[in-house]
Amino acid sequence: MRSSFIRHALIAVCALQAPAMAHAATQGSLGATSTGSVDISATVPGRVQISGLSDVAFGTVDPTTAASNAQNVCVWSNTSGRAYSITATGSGAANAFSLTDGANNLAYGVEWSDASGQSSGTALTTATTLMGLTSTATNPTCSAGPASSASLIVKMTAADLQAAVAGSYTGTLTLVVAPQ
Amino acid sequence: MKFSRHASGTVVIVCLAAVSTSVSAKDSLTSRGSVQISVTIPPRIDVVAAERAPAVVPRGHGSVLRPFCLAGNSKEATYSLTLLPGGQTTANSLPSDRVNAIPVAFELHGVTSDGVRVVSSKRAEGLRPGNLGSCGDGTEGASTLTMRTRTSAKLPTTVTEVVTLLIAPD
Repeated sequence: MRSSFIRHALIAVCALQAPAMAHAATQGSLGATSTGSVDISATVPGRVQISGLSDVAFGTVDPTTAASNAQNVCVWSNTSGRAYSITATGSGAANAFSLTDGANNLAYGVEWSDASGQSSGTALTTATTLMGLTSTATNPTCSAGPASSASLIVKMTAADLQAAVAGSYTGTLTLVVAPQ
Repeated sequence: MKFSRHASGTVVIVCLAAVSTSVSAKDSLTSRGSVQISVTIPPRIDVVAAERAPAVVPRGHGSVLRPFCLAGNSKEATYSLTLLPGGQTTANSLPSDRVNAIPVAFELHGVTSDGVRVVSSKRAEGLRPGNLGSCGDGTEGASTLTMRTRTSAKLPTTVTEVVTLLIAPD
């Protein structure tokens, strides 16, 4: 008896969901003309793209002066508000924003702005997502419309440069954007 | 659809499969980029803790100890020390007796505590600095310059001589 109740309840649930999954096509009938129809549906998922990134080569720096590099990049989002989030990670230990010469480390900072042409922005913390950003890009690679839509700023403080052992330091900064 | 006693479990499984598909699709939504960052820090030297207090040099000849500290950011780089007497860049300047304005010959040479010999106005190479920030504790980078002096003063007099320590990369 109870099994029968559960069976009928599940059938009822499936019946409620049926219209969403059922074919809505209508078939024509025999006549001078015959009309049929089909419903057409498509889902465009949220998509983003980051492009236009350039490697950052500071060259030989003066340790007494802070170093900064800003570049314009393209972030495109197709969500209704063109909103996106970004997460940055470095190649240091525990994804730290740090460069290495093989034996020593040199810390750097990362800032992000959702406007191009900026020399400062919101400081990013490694592996922590910055939400609420908006893109002005109208093309996934900014090949049309605005040429760029965001600013990536990499900075090193004079204190960190002065504390560093002489040498050539390299590292990789990875940026992941997601639609919102 | 055939229901059995495990039918509700089957439904749940279908739902879980749908959730799994959704997660997979979400993963593909992100876009990833990366940049290489490079920078070169040049060798750098600081001279700190140089003794600036006046030293009394006896008539004739004597010695003066002057501690100083080289702090650098490279263990490989070496530096030279040049003593510039008279506070000028010209060698063999003769400081004068302030009272009588009599020129007094003043010779200067020495040796650092790490064995580098220094002759006035000539570069002495091979000094190795300590780590940056290590001068304060006196354990690294500290060097003592022993300056031997010989003057031509015959009478007690006061002669002012400023000696400049010029440090440069080798």
